[in-house]
Amino acid sequence: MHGLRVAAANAAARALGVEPGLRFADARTRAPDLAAEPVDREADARALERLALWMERWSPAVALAGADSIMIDTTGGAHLFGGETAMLDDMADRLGRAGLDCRLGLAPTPGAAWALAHAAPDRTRLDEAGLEAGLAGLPMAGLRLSEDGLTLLRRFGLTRIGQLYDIDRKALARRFHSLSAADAVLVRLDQALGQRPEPLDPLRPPPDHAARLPCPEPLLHPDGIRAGLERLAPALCERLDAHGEGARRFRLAVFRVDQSVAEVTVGAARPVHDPAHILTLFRDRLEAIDPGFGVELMELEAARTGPVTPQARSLDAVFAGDGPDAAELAVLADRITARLGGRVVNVLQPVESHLPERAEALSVYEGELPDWRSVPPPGPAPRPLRLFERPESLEVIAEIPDGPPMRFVWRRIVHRVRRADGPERIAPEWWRPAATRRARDYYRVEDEDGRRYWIFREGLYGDGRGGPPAWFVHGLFP
Amino acid sequence: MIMKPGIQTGAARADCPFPYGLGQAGVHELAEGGFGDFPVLTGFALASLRDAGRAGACVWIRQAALAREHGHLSGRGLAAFGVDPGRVILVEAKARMEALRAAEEACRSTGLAGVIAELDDMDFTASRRLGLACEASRTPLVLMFPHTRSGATAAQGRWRVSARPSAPDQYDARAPGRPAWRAVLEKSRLRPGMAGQIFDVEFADETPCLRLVSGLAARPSAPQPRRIGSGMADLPWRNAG
Repeated sequence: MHGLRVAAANAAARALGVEPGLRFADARTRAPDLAAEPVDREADARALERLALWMERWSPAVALAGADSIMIDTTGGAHLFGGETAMLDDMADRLGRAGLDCRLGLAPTPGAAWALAHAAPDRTRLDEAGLEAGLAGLPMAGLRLSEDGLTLLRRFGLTRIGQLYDIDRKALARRFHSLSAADAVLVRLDQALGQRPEPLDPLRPPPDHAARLPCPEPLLHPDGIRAGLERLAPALCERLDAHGEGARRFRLAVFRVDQSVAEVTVGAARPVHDPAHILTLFRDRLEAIDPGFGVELMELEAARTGPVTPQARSLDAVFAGDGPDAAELAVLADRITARLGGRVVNVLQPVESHLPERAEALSVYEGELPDWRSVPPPGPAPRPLRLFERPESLEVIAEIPDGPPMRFVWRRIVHRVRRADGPERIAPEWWRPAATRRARDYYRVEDEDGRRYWIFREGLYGDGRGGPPAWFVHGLFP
Repeated sequence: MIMKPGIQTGAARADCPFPYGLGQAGVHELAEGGFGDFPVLTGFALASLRDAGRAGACVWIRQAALAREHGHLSGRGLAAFGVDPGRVILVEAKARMEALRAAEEACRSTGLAGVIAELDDMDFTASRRLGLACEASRTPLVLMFPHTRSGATAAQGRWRVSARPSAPDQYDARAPGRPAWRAVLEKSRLRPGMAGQIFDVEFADETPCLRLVSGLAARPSAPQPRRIGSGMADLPWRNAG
């Protein structure tokens, strides 16, 4: 109906009168040799998110705001970059070097900062005292309102934010067609003025502790990253020690000169506060980091912190030789995890279930060995040492319908049963649908070669739940 | 993982008795006698580690393909076997290289009862590396291989273990009795003279340990163990057959 429109234009195009919102046909008339590309909102959003992650170099609390804005909470952090003005200049400089146009605004509230960035001259700063006065002169569009809301306000003759200050709120609400539309205007105004809290929703939760290392010269070699980590780890551990804590997850982020970030995350089985151990965790993972055109800032973050347990073991335990040394095991688990990556070091946890496949579960080893001593034996007959994830189907010839098989075919090989023990009946769980619920009769059988199998018959003849019973092998005995 | 330390073979502990350092120190290999003997290897490895009587946890490294083929280790099964499943740490390796790396790391660690690794194969260099890792820490490493395993190795020894028909159960003649295995010492660095020797062993549930048994007691019609190697005179127990 409307045809193509201009979504965004660069400075050269704007100089020729091509503005966003203009019909593409009109834009062509104004600039016949206009270079245009179809807009890809998803790619834009991804690029903005990548940029936002890189902006974490100024503060860990970075949030996306709309399709074209990034909010950064720099509270208490500006002095690291030489003050607020210097920080804004630094941002503009680095973004400019990347070929990005930007408009920056700095204010005590996210709403006001948004207004400054969108409606005020570049790099405007406002402090708490000057907030109301500073915003008063800005156009209404700075308030993050919907198109309809703006139109309505314009009809009332309200074009500047300051005009809203003295208006009776109830009177304003009456003019809007709905209460929520009026509310939206007032909420945005309150948020901008700091009368209503507006928490940021950061891309990533801020870390518990972090250490940063700016590089005077961009690092180009992986060895440089390693050396940087060797300086970051003690710095981070000092901070952890000050709180008496250790961390179980560490994230190393390197900020490259081309506005991209590479990161590696490692985990530990128990809270760690030892620099040497942190380096071990990262040892084989640093190769994954590509320095690209150079690394200008490194950051090491600690998450999942917890109190560090005292290292000493009781003397009794040492002499009795009873129980493994948990600290040593945790270190070993971390070394293996660091070399193999992922959730590879596990322990078997008992689960209360009669069904053998549900009676235990693998869980990641987190410094605690499970306690099996209080677990009662599952049944009268022993369980096999090796269990199949899914029982494997068998072809069986049985002497009597409800007895153990005489021979069975498993994996295309015929096994003649020499000895058999059973059955041990394991009833199905009563809360499952009755139609598919069949009892299992388990037998322990030995074939001619002496190999032992744990096989079961699912169902009975004439139990009225499906066809004839099926046989499966579920486990193998030594 | 040790419940009752000490070997109960009914004989005085000689300088290096059966099973010749298996589960006590160094790298030892177990290989399937034929396809399907992996559960037997599992039992043999656990029993030997337990007989060695070292305290601490056991690290069990498994290669994904072998776990799919032969089933995964069951906690209740371990408990039934007399091993505390709470002292077994499982490491999941996707491929052989990962399993070897994990085994090397685990071997360097002290204070473990032992390390058991399921591998599909390994070359001489890898076995040498593992041997060096074990030497410093004196942590025993038991490697479990499929029946296709052959070739040179730097390990202390290689056993080929297979299942053997069991003797009838004490109380129920139709039920399978105690697990019975046949272990052939294929290679041994500690006792080169014993290479080729066949051992018929039985696993006793009541006093969990490996026990050498007479072939006659197991089944009269069983083939008599052959005498391939020499040097049986120094054996402290009654020879099978």
